[in-house]
Amino acid sequence: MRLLLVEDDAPLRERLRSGLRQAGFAVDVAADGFEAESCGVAEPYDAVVLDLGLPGKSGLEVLRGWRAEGNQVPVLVLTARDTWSERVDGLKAGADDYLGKPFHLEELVARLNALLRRSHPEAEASLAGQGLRLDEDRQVAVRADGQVVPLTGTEFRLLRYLMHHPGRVLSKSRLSEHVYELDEDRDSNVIEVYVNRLRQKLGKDLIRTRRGQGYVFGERD
Amino acid sequence: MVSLRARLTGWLVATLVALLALHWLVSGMAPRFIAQDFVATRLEHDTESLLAGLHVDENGGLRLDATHVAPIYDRPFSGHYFVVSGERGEVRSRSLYGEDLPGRAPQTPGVVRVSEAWGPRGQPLLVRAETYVVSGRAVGLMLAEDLTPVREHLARLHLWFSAGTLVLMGLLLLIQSAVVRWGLLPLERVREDCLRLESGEVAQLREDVPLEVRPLVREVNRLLGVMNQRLERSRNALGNLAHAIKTPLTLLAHALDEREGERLGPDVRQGVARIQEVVDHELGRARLAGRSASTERFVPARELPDLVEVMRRAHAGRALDFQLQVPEGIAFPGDRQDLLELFGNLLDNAAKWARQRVVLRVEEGEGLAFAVEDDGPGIPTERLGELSGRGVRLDEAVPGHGIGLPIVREIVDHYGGSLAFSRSEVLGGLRAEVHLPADRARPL
Repeated sequence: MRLLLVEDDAPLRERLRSGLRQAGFAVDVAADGFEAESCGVAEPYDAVVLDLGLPGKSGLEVLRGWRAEGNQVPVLVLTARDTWSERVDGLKAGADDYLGKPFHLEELVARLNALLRRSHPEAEASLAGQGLRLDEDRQVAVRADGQVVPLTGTEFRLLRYLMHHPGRVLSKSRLSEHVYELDEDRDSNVIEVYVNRLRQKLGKDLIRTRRGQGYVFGERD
Repeated sequence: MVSLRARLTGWLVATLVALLALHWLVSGMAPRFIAQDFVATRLEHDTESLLAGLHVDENGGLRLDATHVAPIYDRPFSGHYFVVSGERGEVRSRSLYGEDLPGRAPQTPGVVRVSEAWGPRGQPLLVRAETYVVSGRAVGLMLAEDLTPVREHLARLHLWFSAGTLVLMGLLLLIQSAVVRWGLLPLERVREDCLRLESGEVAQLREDVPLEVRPLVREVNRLLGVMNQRLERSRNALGNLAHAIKTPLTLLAHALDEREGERLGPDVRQGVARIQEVVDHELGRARLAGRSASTERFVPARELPDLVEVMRRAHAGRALDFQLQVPEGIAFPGDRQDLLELFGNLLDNAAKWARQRVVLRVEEGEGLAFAVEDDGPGIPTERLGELSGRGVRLDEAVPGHGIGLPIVREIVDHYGGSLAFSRSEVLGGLRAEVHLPADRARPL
């Protein structure tokens, strides 16, 4: 899962970035409204954490711009003002959730996970069907019999993205877009390696290969 | 209270009545004088005619040539009379029928006396008396004419004139009141505009008003602009302040989370929490616009569904059932931010404690009245009073209940309303009831 984090305060931005990375997200950052707007248009994010008090262009304007262009990415809004009228305005502008400053990192991660689950309601069911559960807090997969399968950071990110898009053909480049950050070296062949590792850990049938097209998660014969 | 229309109408009516009365008096008297003059002139001519037929012999005896006497002087009590008196004897007109005229001619020749007197049969007479010298002897000539026919004519004329004057006055009064009303019509529009402004229907007064009040209207509009700008600016400044304080606070909280268990922990953590609380509370207070500073109108049916949706999402993890009952057509003059804060805090508080259900019901009627109820544990009856008590810090009074409740109290006070807590009859939890009066002119 790849996130865009928009926050103008540098120390807080860095802290949130590392915190979110630890929570298993690939995180790109933007420091002002204009940067945020262009990033949101150019890259296929799975969710955006958007601070409203931005220099240049306000967070709400950025959000309205995205929604006007039909960009439906789930957006979690951060704000210091924290008034109910601002929340209503945020909702009208297209925000999906709302977190007032100051907040704890765990709260932010929990809200993000909830937001992602809400935007992909099919994920839960598909996983259960596979006899698997993803523990987002511990970043491990849990089998139906309670056996815990440990995952590396990249494996976790890849599995989570696959899980959220069950039954769909996902190309290698698309997977790498959602697993790696913008400035990371992206080699889509590495995806192959990670898919194989997941197959070894969780079972061969979990991820099927469509030759020349990509992978499909959770399609059992 | 002075009404311009009453003042104008009052003075105009008084002036009009006074002027018409004066006119009526003068016009009533003038014909009388003219008629008297006319009669007096006729008497003078008759006197001259008599004089031409008058002879005095050496003994002072009088002889009147009948051809010089008009027949009217022969008919009894015809209203035309004369008395000619010489040194020896006198001649009276036959019309006098043996009676006499009152008074005598003045002694000195050349002096004319014209006067009114009562004659035979109670006739009001105009009497002209003068003494002439005929053939070296003084002869007094007194001629009189009955004024009754002239007076009757005049009376009839006067009656018609009075009636005409009255009709004219009525017409003028009607026209005048119409003119006053028409003239003050633009002011009436301004007044209606002010009422609309007060109820929040419009944000500015229309400026197409008469020259005389335009500066006033412009000044009101300018002040409204300044006020709104100031509110906007101070809210922006507060927002920036919140941003500036809370961002480092977030950082601090995160740094503390990382150092959990270290010695500096508890004190610093409490300090940070306290700063957060104070900042939240004071910024919340400072943001309030209050009734007088805002020209907005709050339409619950338009705003509340969105707020409830925000609530659903804020408490998304708990599958709460929010019920909203709000009648269409209510528009309350108040600031949107203030009122959303009021509803938001009460709903949020209810949602925090509710097991499953939160009900918000807005009542129809004067002002803004609503109740928020939940099915949570509620508050023991003996502590309900503390929640409602004025000046009590609610967050101190009831721990847990009411991070947002002090600001609710502040908003209700700002709008001169009432806030009451009780046990919900239907749901069993806490019931908060708010009523804000519609009258914005009420002092805060």
